[in-house]
Amino acid sequence: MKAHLISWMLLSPLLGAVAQALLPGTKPPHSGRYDGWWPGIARWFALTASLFGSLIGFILVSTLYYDSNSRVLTEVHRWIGVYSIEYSVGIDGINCPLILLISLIFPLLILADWGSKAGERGIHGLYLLLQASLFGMVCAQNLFLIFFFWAFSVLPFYFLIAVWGENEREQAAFRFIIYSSISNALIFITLTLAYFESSPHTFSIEELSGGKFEGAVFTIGPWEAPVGLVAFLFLFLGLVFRVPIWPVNGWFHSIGAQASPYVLVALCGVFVPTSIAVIARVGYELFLKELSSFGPVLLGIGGINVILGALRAISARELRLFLGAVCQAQVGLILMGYASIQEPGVLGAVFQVLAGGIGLSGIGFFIGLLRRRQGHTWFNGDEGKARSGGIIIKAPILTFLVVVLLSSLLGFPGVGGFVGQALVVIGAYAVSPWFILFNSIGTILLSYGVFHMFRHIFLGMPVDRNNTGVVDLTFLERVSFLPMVVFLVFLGVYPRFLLDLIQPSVLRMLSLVQ
Amino acid sequence: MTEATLLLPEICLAFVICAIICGEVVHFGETYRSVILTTLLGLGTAFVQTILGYQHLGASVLAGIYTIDGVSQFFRIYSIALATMVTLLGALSGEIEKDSRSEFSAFVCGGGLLMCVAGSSRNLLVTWLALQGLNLVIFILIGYSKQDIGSIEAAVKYMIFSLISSALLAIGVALLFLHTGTLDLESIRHILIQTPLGGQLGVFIFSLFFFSLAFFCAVFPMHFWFSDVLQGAPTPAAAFIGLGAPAVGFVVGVRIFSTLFSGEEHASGWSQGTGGPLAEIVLLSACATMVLGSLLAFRQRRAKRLLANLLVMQNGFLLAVLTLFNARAVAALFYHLLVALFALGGLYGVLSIISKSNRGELLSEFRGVFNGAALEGISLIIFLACILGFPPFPGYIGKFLLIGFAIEKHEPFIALLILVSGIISIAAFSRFLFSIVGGFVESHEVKLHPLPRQRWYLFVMLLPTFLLTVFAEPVLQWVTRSFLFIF
Repeated sequence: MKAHLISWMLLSPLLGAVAQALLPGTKPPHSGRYDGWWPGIARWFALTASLFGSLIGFILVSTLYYDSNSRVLTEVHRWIGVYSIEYSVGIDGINCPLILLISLIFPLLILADWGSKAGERGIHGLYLLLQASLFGMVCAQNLFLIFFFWAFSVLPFYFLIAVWGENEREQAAFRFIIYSSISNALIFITLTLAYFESSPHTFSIEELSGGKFEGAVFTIGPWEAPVGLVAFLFLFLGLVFRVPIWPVNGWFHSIGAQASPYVLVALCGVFVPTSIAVIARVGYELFLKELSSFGPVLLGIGGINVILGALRAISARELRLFLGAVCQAQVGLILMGYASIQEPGVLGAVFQVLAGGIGLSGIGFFIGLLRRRQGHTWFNGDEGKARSGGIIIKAPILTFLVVVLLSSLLGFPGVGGFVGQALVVIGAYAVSPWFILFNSIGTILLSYGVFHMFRHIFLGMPVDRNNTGVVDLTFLERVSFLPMVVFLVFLGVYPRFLLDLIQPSVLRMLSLVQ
Repeated sequence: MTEATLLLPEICLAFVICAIICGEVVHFGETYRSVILTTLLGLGTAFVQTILGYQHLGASVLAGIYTIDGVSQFFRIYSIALATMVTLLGALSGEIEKDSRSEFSAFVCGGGLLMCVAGSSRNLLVTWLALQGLNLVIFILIGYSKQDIGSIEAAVKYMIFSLISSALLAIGVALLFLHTGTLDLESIRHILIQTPLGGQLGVFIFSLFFFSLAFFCAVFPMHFWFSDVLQGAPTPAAAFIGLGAPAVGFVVGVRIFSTLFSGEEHASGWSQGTGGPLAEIVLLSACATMVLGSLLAFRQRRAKRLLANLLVMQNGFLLAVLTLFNARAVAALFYHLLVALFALGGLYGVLSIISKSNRGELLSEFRGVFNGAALEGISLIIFLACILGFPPFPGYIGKFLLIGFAIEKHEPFIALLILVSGIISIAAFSRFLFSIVGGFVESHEVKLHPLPRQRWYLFVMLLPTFLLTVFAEPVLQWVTRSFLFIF
């Protein structure tokens, strides 16, 4: 019964999206015709479906937490048995934080676009599809299914960017789908290589784990290439083309600048951390030797990412670009944790996926809110002229909540980010003390960027003194912000809750390497 | 009597054609609904007869000329489904005039009948005749819009290429007959085992057969007609040609090559007996088709032409599998054809709705379609994504199997080429997406007015597209069983 819950968790947003699409159509906003009850029903439908999935997610995580005997829940069904393709999903300690992150953010995203005039049903439907695909990606226990859901998430993002983005949204969406296709192709090579070079052929991560490709080679003309190395490189490159990792990161920022702030929440706050965690897990399970060899290189790339992200944050004059930059720095941090191949480092990375994801999502929500109130997201116009300011006077509660979120992203004590970042630093130190230098420089630069932004937006005097647009949070907005802030404080004060949950799985994963 | 029972699907199709012609002669001006109803009833009966024919699997009729095996049964089902789909499309589309629908339906049924014959024939002469008959039907279907210069031009181009293809096949059959003294495929096979074809002669005859069938499959170097025809022909006719011609090419190809040029005693792979580079010829053609198709698709500005080139790329991709030539690879190929049947059928359904509103030539004319008719826009994207193998659509499973076999056979070059072409074709697909989604916010004018029955048609096409993902295993098993006896 518990295992079937995983399928229900995946299915409920998916069914919600389908059911919502089948409801009678609404009239275009410019037609001036009365729509009746349908928009409201569709809205509640979407929220219920998303909440139902999230609720099951929370139940599954709490089951794992309280029942020490069932540290792993799995569900397996035959799909295309001839080719050993199974519908195999499961939950263990490592994917618990990811499920928490998805479960927390997606209902809030639907709430954020509540009552939106332009294509609300479409937006909600696409969020539901994204929620289902991300749940699937996280829970999938075989490579075929991981790729299935990984690629499934491309089209919802495409439409969210192309339809509800800024002026150059279509070009941004075009770029997104091209990069995603390259990423898909690269990961596709990995899974096909893994399947056909294993004997008997299988996609099951469990069966493929434990260095099955050691010594295996395949021939291309006169050359011989190690299967493990090629598959690992393609896997990593596949990730590089989907999340902002140096040196292929420029596209991400140009897309981020055109996407709507709430889409950016789904992208930066949920999709990016989740993708790194899923790919890192595959790397740990399947390519132990290659991961050990390339660990220092990946650590270096992570360090560069942290510094580059921080520098971008300093130079950003627009909040979405700022969020993209902070996201890149967080990616670097998580990558460093995974690449350290040390218990504290990996624990920190898994922890930071949740803490960083919530922090980034919170800032994304704030950007959306600000855009709705003041019509733009610039905090510093051309020639250094201020375009925002004085929000602390108008909206003290909002300011307080944003401060908590930013503190977590900067790793201040008392909030979730501190624990994650501290553990990552400890893990990286064990590999080489030099990596601490990367991280420290990055954190200092990022702090400068964050306070630079904070000074322009929250402090000083309002730019337009008669402008009463920026008012404090409404009830619905408080409901959206509070869970994230409470969760971050809870993680900061009582990190054991999450660490106890993820530690056994991390130790099992590391034991494979050792 | 038993022979007639085994031929019931073909007899049903012939009866439908006769009924339509008689209806036209006796009741000229009859409302089109009864013609469509007659056609659909006939096709439905033929379908049921085909299913019932599974109990006589392995039988042969007409003195061994005609065989009822897994391949013929699969292809009968495919052809009848295609004819049904195109008949519906013709009825729903505004491009076929009401008065012309009866003759259009008759030609489509005729095409379906000839496809069945070509797929079931074991005699090379009958195969040749069926293919020529099909060429004639397709030629008429392309030039259906007699007033349209594009349509006439496409028909002429098709005729020229079909004549070349026909001549190549005729020479190939004649040479084989000279060497073996028979036209029966099985007899030829037994003789070739005793006295194999010499190296150069073997390669020459193979090349004649291959390039002749390459015309139907629309693969390099015989693919040039495809994009012109698919752009010039009325949308329902284009659907019939785009799906029917490659399918008949692949099925006849698999039957002929597996009997005459495969390894010893129906083993997998290409025969080494001829000593020639048979697999290399196929591979070269496939690679060139994939690269050309994807590159041409990427630079197109016209929607139908872009689609046609994407299909050329897909055909090359399917041909690449023939280089492996084993049961699983061929099953994957035909699974992919089955997926394309519904996806492309749906795709042309959307295009016919768009063409009806005088849009859909240039990509730029698609702006606002997504806003004007969201369901049609989404369906279009789903069908296209399905053909290109985007998860979670079934084309993805087919593509995985095909690339996988390439890797399994230690042909990473093929896999890589498929992937690179895939990426370029996805870029072309993105351009299409770009046009459909473009202008969503600005465009408030709903210019498309799809009828409810047109939307039902799309739904009927969407359903199997998803079902083929969920029930991929039973479908693959069925397809594999259909082709297993060959290998």
